[in-house]
Amino acid sequence: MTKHGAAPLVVFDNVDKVYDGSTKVVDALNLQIEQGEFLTLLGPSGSGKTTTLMMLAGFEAPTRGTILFDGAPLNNVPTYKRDFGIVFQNYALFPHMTVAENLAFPLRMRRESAADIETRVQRTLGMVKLDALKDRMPTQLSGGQQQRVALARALVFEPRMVLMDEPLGALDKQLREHMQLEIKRLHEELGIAMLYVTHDQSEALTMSDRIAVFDEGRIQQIGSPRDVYARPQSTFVASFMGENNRLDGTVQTAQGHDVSVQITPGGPTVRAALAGGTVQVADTVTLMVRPECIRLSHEDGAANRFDGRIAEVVYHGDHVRLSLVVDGVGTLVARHPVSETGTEFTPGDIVPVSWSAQQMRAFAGKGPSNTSNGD
Amino acid sequence: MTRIFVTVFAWAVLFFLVAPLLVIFPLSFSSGEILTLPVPGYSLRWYEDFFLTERWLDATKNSFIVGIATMIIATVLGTTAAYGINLTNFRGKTVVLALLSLPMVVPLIVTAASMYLAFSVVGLANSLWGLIVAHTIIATPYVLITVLASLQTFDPNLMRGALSLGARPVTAFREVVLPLIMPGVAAGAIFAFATSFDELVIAIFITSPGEFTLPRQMFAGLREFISPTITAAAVIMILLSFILLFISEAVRRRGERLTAGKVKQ
Repeated sequence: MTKHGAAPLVVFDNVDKVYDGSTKVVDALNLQIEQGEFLTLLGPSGSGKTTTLMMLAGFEAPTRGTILFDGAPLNNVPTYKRDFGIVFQNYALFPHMTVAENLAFPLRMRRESAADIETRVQRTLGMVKLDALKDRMPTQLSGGQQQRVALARALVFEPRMVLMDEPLGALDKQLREHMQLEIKRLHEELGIAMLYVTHDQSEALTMSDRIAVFDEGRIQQIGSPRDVYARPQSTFVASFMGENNRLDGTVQTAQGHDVSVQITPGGPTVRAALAGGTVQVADTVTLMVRPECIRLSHEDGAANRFDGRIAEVVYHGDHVRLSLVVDGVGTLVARHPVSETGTEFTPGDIVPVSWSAQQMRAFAGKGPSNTSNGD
Repeated sequence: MTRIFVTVFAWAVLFFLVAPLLVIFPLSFSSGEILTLPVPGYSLRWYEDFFLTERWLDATKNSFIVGIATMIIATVLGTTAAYGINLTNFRGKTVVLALLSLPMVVPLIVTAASMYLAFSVVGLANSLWGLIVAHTIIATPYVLITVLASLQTFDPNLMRGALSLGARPVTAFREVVLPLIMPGVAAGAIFAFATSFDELVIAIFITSPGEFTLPRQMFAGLREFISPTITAAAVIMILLSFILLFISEAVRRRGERLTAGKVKQ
């Protein structure tokens, strides 16, 4: 957890990374990683998140700017002196060494005594529940076991920080969810700062203290999972973090963050919360509301109430997804929990539809991303 | 019908390839002084001559000195060159590769003549050192190529992994890269030794009597005093080649087990 008042562990100070003299992969990055924090870099491929990790690891050099660790610049420190535990996407286990030898490697490099190596390897294997497999070769292990060996090897030498580059990408869904909890548990037990790179938003939401959402080499938004999910500041962040209903409209009135917007063209007026910046009457805005925020009733507090015709019902076990056609608004997707009372929805039925003004976020301007008018 | 034809043809080709080699075996055990078949009788006199004559023993010793020195130098040069070339992408990489493999395609007699002239200038002609340098030049491309082939299956992330775990680059190379590309390195080393061990053309230009290698001594034996001892020498060389073949096969199998042990992605 973030220790307030303590100096940050890592500082990216105005860091650029340019490839081939022209492709800017990381663009004027300013980022602080706090002591003991679990920070996730989340973004689509090519957004610069992996390059950021590689620069911290020392495999890539910043084209411009400085990276500080504990206040000291890292620029000329080679990887082997950085003392970071790194977990690679394909694990990078040494195939010619047993599990125990893989774990002993970083300790041997630090010239620890044989007895010390033995105890620490044993203890770390216990931590990831791999005691029984210490004499196996990496190829004799399942994907999940290999992943845990990679994790153990990155922790065994008590590094100053752990960096993970999509470490769960190769695992199936169930194992991935299990490992997410395991990594989170290790983070809480060890209190060590972890930088985690992923393109999977649910992974980021589950594990992180903070999430930095990357796009086009810049951080679009950084904050707690709750903050980033519930209060996205741009259409990019909103659409990357889960599903959204997306509408275009024209501002009718604007008072602070409360705006009323007429759905274009010629639709009804809805009330929404401005995601950031300022708008004026007659500005065009993009509206977004998540499927789980759309209620199939006329809730008392809900500012936006309509009637909708059910066009499609898809059963998902714990919830149903409904496509609703609302006059003048268009098609909205709603996600409705399946309750024990078992309300039946039939295509063609007319149902009440509502959502609150707070849950509909208005973004100034149109278009897929909205970085220029942000904050 | 086709099957029978293919089988017969295959055996015929095999016989065609091996027959000349087979002839040398009975000849080397001949009791006669002239190289003729059938042999008048069997004896070990030519082997005795080989193992008791100083110029044959010296030639064998020289071949081993030059072969082993060539193997060591060519393996170090070829392996490091291959690793460097594989590691980076630069303009003209293909040109560099082509230049490095040039000694393999240039006619040996051209290489030999130019080396003789060049080595005369720097005083390396007529010495075993000169021969070692010359053999290293023609043997290094073999190492380069076999090591490059092994590096194709080497995951560069393993090097990054080793660095991140605190290994200096040289240590990481020795502990992680080298064991995994060993099959290629060993095969290259054997090729390098074999290249030097049976090389004659350069040896003719560069060695002086008294510093003859085994092939050079055999050549002299054929030309100057037709002695059946060269058949014994030939058989010994064939046996050595077989041993090398077995070693390289063993190394390849061991390597296959290791690369079969490549971590699945």
